[in-house]
Amino acid sequence: MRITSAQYAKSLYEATLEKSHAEVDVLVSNFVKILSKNGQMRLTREILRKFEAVSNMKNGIVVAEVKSREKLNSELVDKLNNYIKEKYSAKDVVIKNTIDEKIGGGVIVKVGDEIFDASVKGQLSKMRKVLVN
Amino acid sequence: MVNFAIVLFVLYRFAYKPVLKTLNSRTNKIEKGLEDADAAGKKLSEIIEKEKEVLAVAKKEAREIIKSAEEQAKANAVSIVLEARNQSEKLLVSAKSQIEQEKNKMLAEVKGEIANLVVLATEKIIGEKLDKEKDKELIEKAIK
Repeated sequence: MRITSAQYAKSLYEATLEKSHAEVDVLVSNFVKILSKNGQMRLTREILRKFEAVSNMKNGIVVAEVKSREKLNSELVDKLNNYIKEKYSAKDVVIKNTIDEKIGGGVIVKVGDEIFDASVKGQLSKMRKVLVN
Repeated sequence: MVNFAIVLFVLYRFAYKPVLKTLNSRTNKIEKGLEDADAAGKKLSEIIEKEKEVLAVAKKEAREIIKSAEEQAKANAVSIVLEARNQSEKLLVSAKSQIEQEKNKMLAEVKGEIANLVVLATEKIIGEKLDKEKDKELIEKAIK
């Protein structure tokens, strides 16, 4: 049975816990050799993504992808930070702000599979549905 | 006297007896003929009676056949009318349903068009009015 990227990511996370930089280097080097031996090098990107997710989850870090019409200023970033921290009971929040003029204003916050759409475009879409029905 | 007796004897012996016999025979024939005629008359009456009975039965049967045919025809006519009414009701229901569907479809299209126009107009107004400060307020309100 082939090992999945999630299994690799979890194993790598557990193996690197409380290890020194030098030890982590050796571990990663061996890990890459195992991947190569198993012919699963193409999973590298996916494993790293899942490693980050596992690490964040274990450390209570929430990554939020925030879409806005313009770049968010520090005041709004702080407010969003607090909002997300409270909502997800997170120890820390990482906000990745991307610009999308098409949303017309407001924000779209994506945490994991959950999406909170408070954009103008989203509100207009909801309004359209109400009008049609 | 003797001669008379002889003549009487001869007459009795050779004339009277055969004549009597012939008369008896004729009488019997006539009686039989009368009996036969009587029997034939009775037979004729019976035949006439029988004929009347057969005729009555035939008439009765004919009346029943006609009555049955009339009833069948009436039933057929009722059935045809009911079937036609049923068909017309089905057509009416189908037509009503089709009209309703068309109406709903058209209504949905009109609603969609109106909604699109409203959304477009609102989007345009918001796009023009929503400056940086308003956008900030909008975000703050959403995460309050």
